[in-house]
Amino acid sequence: MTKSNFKNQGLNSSRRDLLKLMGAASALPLLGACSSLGGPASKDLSARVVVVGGGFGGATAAKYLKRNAPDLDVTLVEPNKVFYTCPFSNLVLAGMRTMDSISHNYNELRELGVRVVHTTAQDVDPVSRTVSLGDGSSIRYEKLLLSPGIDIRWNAIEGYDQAAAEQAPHAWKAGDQTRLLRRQIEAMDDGGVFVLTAPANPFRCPPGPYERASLVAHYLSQHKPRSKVLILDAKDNFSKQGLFMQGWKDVHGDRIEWVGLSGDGKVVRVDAGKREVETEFGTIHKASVLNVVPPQKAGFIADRAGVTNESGWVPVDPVTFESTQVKDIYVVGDATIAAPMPKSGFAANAQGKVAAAAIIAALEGQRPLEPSWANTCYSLINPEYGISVAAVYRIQEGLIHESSGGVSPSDANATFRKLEADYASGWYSAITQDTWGTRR
Amino acid sequence: MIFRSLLAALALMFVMSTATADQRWQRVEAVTQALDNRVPELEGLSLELPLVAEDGSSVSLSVSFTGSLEDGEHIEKIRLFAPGNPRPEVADITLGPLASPANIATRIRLSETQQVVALAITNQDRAFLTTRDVRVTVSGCLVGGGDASAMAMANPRLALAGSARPGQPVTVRSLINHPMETGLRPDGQADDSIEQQLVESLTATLNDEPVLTARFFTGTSANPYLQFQLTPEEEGELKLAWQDQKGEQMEASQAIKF
Ligand SMILES: Cc1cc2nc3c(=O)[nH]c(=O)nc-3n(C[C@H](O)[C@H](O)[C@H](O)COP(=O)(O)OP(=O)(O)OC[C@H]3O[C@@H](n4cnc5c(N)ncnc54)[C@H](O)[C@@H]3O)c2cc1C
Repeated sequence: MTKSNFKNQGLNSSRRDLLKLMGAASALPLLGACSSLGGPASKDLSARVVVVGGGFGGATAAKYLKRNAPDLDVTLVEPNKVFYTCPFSNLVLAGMRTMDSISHNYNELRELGVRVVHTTAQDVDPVSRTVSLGDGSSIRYEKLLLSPGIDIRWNAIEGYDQAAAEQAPHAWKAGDQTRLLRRQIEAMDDGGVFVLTAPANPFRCPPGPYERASLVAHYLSQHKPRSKVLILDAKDNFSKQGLFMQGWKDVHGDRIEWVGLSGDGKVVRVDAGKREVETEFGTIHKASVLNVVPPQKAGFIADRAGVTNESGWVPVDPVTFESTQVKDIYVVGDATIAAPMPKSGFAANAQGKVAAAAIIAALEGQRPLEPSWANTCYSLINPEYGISVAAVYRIQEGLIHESSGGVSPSDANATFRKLEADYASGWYSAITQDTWGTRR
Repeated sequence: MIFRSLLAALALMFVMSTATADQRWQRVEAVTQALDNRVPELEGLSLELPLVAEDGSSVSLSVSFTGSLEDGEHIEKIRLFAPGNPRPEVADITLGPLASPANIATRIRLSETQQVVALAITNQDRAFLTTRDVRVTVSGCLVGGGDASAMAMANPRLALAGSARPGQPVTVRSLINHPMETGLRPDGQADDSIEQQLVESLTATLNDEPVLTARFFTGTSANPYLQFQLTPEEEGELKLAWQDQKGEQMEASQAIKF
């Protein structure tokens, strides 16, 4: 039994209130409230803040830093001119959206006065407070904010290295990997098997693999109806498990098969050339398309800055998201240890605002406000069938705790499921507009 | 004077509080009983667990001995405790000389944030102890499936990771499906209407020579998993036998070939 099952019993009404609060676009004002600064900064704030990473966490932080403290000198370092979101990339895989519709840019940030530099941060020296950049230059900071997302732990599964990902894509960072996987799915023969391997916790987007399996199954049902989806999982429990399983049964019949850890679902070896995987107890599965969602860690720049611990992720002060290991370096998003908050775009956006407010407060010599956060993750079983998990997080005894939350009701009717699918698009438009200012 | 003794008292309090923080295991009865007046060495045993467990119902644990032993000395027992669980016992593993080096991995239940304790005892009666703090964000509520018909063991699995060579360690993995019903409810109390049903033990033999015996308790996850090292001297048959609380048995075997 999982925690959400527990919660379902007593918290239905609070969940309903929460959903009302969070219904699509109205979710964002709730976040705005917790990061409000009480008006723009009054003191001379000309300090230099460097933000590394222009994804959900970094772009949001850069925007809210500049917006709330216009005199602040804010530089954003991000190699890509176009950012493709992982959220809704599963819809691209299923042919329900174009890559264009999940692309965003840095025009709004430039208009706000953020200096956007398209290069990679290579190293951080916390003593001289400099970041060295891929173009050979370096840049000094008073406060540094990292939101580098994840890196893949290559070879954590035997045989799964960077070259293997060209044949068996992960598509766990959106862009070329998404295109590659989409091409493979389109080229798959009818009657083939799409094999997805899912990692143990923690990893980016806990419901992501299961939404992907759902939407690939949806595509297959329309274009290659004799094909199947097999999920090989290194866990026995996963996010919204009950709802996914029920949704699969309702919508996809037996097209999707899930094998958990105790059913020998943990993959220990990948042969990308043969599109073959081997599990812990020696079962070999052959795939027509092999999608490996591999074990992950914080983006490498976090390591270079000395903010990761032995887990490969970054411990932070939950009030400010400042590193507990290196002063004046703030880290948000997937790279951090913020459990029970999930590694989601929604959470990264909210944390970006909290850290921006904390940086401004610190530069002004003020105490940071105590934050609270909300998170909703929508997932689609098919275009007409959405499910969600929602929660509010607060700080208790110096740690992040879930203070209320729950998942969609298990007995909801088709109208409700359709409504949640619509909320998902509303959510996407709202959060990407809040983060990059782009309208999608 | 008064000031100085106050400082001394404060310093002492500080020392005591840091000492107790690291030695919480000394107040765990199950641990002190297992130690049976031996004074453990605090270096040599290494325990790996995630710093944060996002699902307390199945937390990967591995324990290995990295210290040095005398000639003829080997690790004979490894015991695991989760003192923050309603019942602290997790697993007791008895190792024969073939199960070397002492290196065990399993999956455990943690009902809350706590310090996990591992204890190793050698055949020369030396003890080694180590601890590890784990934050649990979703509790492994110690509840099984509740469906009495599903309480039987099923699908015993056994596999070697790699190939066996004489005198060289090879990793052995084992798993059996079983809900491991603790008989406890989420509040940690026993409920008379629910019968505790556990896989009680796993015994490994090579050509009928004992390799290892594991006893499982409520702190072992559903579908007990055990990984160990086997250092075979000869070819033969590795046999695993699981036994549940009702006395039912299941077996799996694997040829060891060089
Ligand atoms: C398939 C899938 C579906 C998902 N669906 C959802 C969803 O529906 N809802 C949701 O909330 N979340 C979802 N997520 C999760 C979401 O994508 C992540 O949680 C989010 O992107 C995290 O934001 P971030 O800022 O930490 O990292 P990212 O958004 O990945 O941004 C990191 C940025 O940093 C840059 N960077 C990295 N290293 C450097 C460096 N050294 N120098 C300069 N720049 C650097 C990268 O180029 C990247 O642009 C999904 C994820 C996946 C994989």
